[in-house]
Amino acid sequence: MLEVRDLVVEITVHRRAPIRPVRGVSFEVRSGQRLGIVGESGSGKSLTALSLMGLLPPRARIASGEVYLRGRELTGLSERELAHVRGGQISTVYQDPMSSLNPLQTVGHQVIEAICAHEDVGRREARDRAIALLRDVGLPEPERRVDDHPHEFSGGMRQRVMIAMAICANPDVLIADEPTTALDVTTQARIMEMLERLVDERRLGVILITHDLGLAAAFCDDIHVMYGGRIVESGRAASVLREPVHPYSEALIESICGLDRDVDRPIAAISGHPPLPNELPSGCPFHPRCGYAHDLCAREAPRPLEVRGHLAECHFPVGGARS
Amino acid sequence: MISTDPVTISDGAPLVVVEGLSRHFRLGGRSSGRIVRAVDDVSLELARGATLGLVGESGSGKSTLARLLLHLDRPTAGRVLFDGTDVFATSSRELRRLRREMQIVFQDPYASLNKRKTVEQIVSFPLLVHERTLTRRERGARVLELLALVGLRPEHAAAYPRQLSGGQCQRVSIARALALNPRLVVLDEAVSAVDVSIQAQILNLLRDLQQRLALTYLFVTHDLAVVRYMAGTIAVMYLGRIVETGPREALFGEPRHPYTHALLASIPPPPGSQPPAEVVLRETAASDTLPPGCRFHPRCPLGERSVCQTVDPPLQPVAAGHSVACHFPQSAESLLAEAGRG
Amino acid sequence: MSSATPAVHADAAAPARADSVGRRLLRRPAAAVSAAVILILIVVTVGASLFAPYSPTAANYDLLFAPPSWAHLFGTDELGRDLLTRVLYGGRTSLLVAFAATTFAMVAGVAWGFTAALREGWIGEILMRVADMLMAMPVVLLGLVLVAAFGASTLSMIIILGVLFTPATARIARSTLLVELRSEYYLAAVSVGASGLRIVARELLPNTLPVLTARGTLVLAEVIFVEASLSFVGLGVQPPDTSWGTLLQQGYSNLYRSYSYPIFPGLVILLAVLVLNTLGDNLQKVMDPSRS
Repeated sequence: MLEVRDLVVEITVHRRAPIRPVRGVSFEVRSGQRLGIVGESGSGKSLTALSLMGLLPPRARIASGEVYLRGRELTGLSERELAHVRGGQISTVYQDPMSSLNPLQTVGHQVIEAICAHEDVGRREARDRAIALLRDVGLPEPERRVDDHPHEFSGGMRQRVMIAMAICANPDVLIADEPTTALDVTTQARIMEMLERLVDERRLGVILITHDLGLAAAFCDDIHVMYGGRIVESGRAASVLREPVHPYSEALIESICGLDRDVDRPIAAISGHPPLPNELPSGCPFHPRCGYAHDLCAREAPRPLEVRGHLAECHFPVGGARS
Repeated sequence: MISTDPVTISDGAPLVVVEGLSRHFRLGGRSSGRIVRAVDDVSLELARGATLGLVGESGSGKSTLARLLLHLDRPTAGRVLFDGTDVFATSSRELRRLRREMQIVFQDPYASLNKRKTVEQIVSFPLLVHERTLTRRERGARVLELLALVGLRPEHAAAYPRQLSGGQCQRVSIARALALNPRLVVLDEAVSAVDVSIQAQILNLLRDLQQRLALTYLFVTHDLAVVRYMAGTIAVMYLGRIVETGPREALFGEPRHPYTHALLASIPPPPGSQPPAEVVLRETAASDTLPPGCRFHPRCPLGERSVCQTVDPPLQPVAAGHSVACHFPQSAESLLAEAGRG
Repeated sequence: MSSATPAVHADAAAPARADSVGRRLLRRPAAAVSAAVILILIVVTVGASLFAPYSPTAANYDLLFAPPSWAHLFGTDELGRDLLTRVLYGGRTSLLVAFAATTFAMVAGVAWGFTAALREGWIGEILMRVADMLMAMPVVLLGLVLVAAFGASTLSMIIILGVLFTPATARIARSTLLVELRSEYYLAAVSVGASGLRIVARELLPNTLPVLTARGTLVLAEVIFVEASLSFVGLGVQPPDTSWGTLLQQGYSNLYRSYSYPIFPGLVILLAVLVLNTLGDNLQKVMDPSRS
C-alpha cells in the first residue's frame, strides 16, 4: 500500500557539500502490517518519516527516490495536495504530546478540528465522532473529558488524544515516531496495547519508529534496522532479534541492557559512536566499529544480500546462530 | 541495608544516611496553595563502595531526592548524614568542604556543560574552586589524567561541548565529577539520554570507575533493567515514597509491591521468552493532591479495599533487607489471582 | 577492565567556527550593511580631525547659508562654517555621549537586574517594581525633569541618559539571568561548591552576553535619539559643544534661510538610529533559535 523506493534526503549546508542523512531507503507497508524502523541517533529514521509526510525542515528536501501511496506518487505533489494526504491517508503521532497539542484549546475542539479538516460533517456529528474516537483510544469518560484542556490530562492520556486525532480520518498508514519514549513505562505498555487493537480493528499499516529494539520486537511484524542513512538489515521482528545477520544488529542486541543480563560481567559495548550524516565513513558506514571488518568494507559499500530470510547490507554477514 | 553486591566490600557504617527526608512544594498563593509532596518521609542508607539504585517514573521524586542529598535544594523536614555530618546543619565552610566529597552527573549531556567553555575549562573548574595552590600546568596535567580515566583523548580537551557527541559529553561530566576525588557520585538518569550502544559504554565505564576508585553511587533511573545491572540494592519510589526496597535478587526474584509487579510487567520481554503476566494499572487523571490512604491505591488492582483507601502503609520488612510499603504484599501470581477476583 | 574505547570526533574544530554568532550575523545583508555603516560613522567622527575638510571654527563670512556644493558637501551654516565638518565634530560628541551613557546603563542595569534575579524574594520584587515605575514614565519627559533638576552639560547628559535607560536594561538582565539559573550547568557549578559571585561572573555572565549585547545595540540607538531630542530643545549638550541635536536645532531655527541646513544633521541622526536598530534586531534574530 505504501511503497518507498530509493529515498534520498538531502540537507543543504551553507558553503559546504550537502549532507545526506537518508541515502537510498526502500521499504513497503501493507494494510494491517506493523513495520518497525529501528535506529540510533543519526541513522536517518526520523527524517525518513518526515519525508513521507512531506514535512521536511526548510533546508532538507527529497533529492531522489519515490514514495507511492496506493499507487499514487507523493513526491511530486503540491503543498495543497499534500495537505489533503496528510491526516487523510497518512498521519503521524509524535513523541511529545505536550508540545503537539494546543494548550489553549479543549481537547474536543482539536479533535473536531482534525475531523472537519478531512470530512464534510456538521459540528454536532463531528462532536459525536470525536467522543466515540476518544472512547476508542481508551480515554475514560470521554463525554465529560472532551471539554477539558490538555494540561488536565496525564501524559499517557494526551498521547491517546494525539492518536485519536491521527486516526480520525481513517488513514491508510499511521507513522508512530517514538510515540512512547516520553511516557512512563507502565503507560507505555498500555498505549502500545491500544495501538495494537486499533491497528487490527482498522487494518491500518503502522510504521513504528524507535530506538528501542525490544519495543519494536514486541509490537512489530517486521523490522528494518537503520544505520548511517541506510537500512542495514530487514526481516521478521523476532528473527532479527534472535538471529541477527548484520554485525551492527548483532552488536546492538549484545549491548542492550536487558533484564536477563549477567550482572557480573561487563556489557559487550560497541566502541565509538553512531556517525552523524556529515561524518560518514567510506564504504560500509559501520566498518570503523565493526568487529568483522576487512579492507573491502572500507572501500566498497555493500549491496543487499539475502541471508537466512533476512536482507542485510554486509560483505561478511554473521553466519551461524548467536551463541 | 548492607549491599550484597559481590563486587564491593562494604565496611560497616554507611556513607550516607537519610532520615525522614521530605520536600514539599507549595503551589499557588502564599497561604491558599496546594502542597505537592515531592519527597515524603524517605529514609535510606548508602553503603560505602556500593551502589544504591533508585527507581521510579516521572513524579516519583527520585530526582528531587538526589538533589536534596547534594544540598542543591533544602528539605522541608528530615536529615541527611554524610559520614556522620548533618549536611543541612553545617557552616558554609564545612559545606564547601563536603561538596568535594559528593558530586553529580546529570541526565542531559549538553545542558549540564557550559556551552561556552572548553572541555578543559569545564573539567578544571572544580580544581580552580578548591585547589587554588595548583599551578596551571599541574591543573592541565590533572585534566588530562581525568580525561584518560573516562576514555577521552587529550585532543578533546580543546573542544567545545557542541562539537562532541552525547556520549562524549557524559564522559566529560563524569570527569568533572571525579576531579576532586569524591566519595559519592549521584548519577541522575545519567544514561537515559544517550543512544543504546553508548549507554553500554557508559555503564561499563561507571562500573570500572567504581571498582578502581572505591566510589559509592546513587543510581537514579526509570529503567529497571539498567538499575538491576548497576545496583546491588534497589529502592522503588512512587509519588515521593519508597514503596519497596531490597537487594537485587530479592527485588527482581520475589517482588512484593503491586507497583513493582506492574513495572516489571511493562518491560517488553527479551525475544523468545514469554511475556510476564499482565498487571493492569488503572489510569487516573493527573492530580496534584495525594489521595488519602495508600498513595498508590487509585491505580492499584487491589486498591478498592477500605484499608488501602484510608491508611497509608508504612515500609515494613518482609524478609532480610527487603521491605515493602503495602497492606497486602504478595507474589505476582497471587496478585493476579486477587485482582481477577475483583 | 573498561571496554569503552574512546572515539575521536573527526574534524572537531571545523564545523563550530562557521556557526558563531558573528558569522551568522554578517551573512544577513541588512546586518552586514548596518555594521559597516556604524563602523564608518564611528571612524569618521572619532577621526573628525583627519576626515573633516575644514576646521570647525573656520568661518567664511562671504558664504553664509550656502546650499550644498562641491566645495561644501553639506553647505554652510550661519557663520559660513562648513556643515559637513560640524556634523563630523558634532557626531563625535553625540556618539561619545551615546556610548558612555549606554555603557552606564548596561553596567548599572546588569548589576540591578542580576541582583534582583539572585535575590528572588521581596528584595527582587521591590527592585523590579521600581524599575517598572521608572519605565512607565515617558523617557523624554523624565529626561527633561532630570535636566531641570541637575542642569544640562555633556557630563550630566551622560549620567541622565544612563539613568534613563537603566531600568529597562535591568529587566532584560534579570530575565536573562533567570533563564541561566534554571540550567543544569549552573546546578553543576553549585554542586562543585563554587561561591556565588564566582559562578555569576565566570559561568553565567558569558552566557548572558549575547542577549545583553543585542539589547545594548538597541539602547544605543535610543540614546542617540533621546540625546538629539534633548539637545534640540536646548536642554542637552550646551555650547560651545555641538552635537547632532544642537545642529538640528540651529538648522531648524534658520529654516527660512537655508532649507538644507537641518536636513543633514537630521539625516545623520536618522541613519545612525536606523542602522543601530537594524543591527540590534538582526542580532536578536540570529540568537533566537539559538543553535549552539
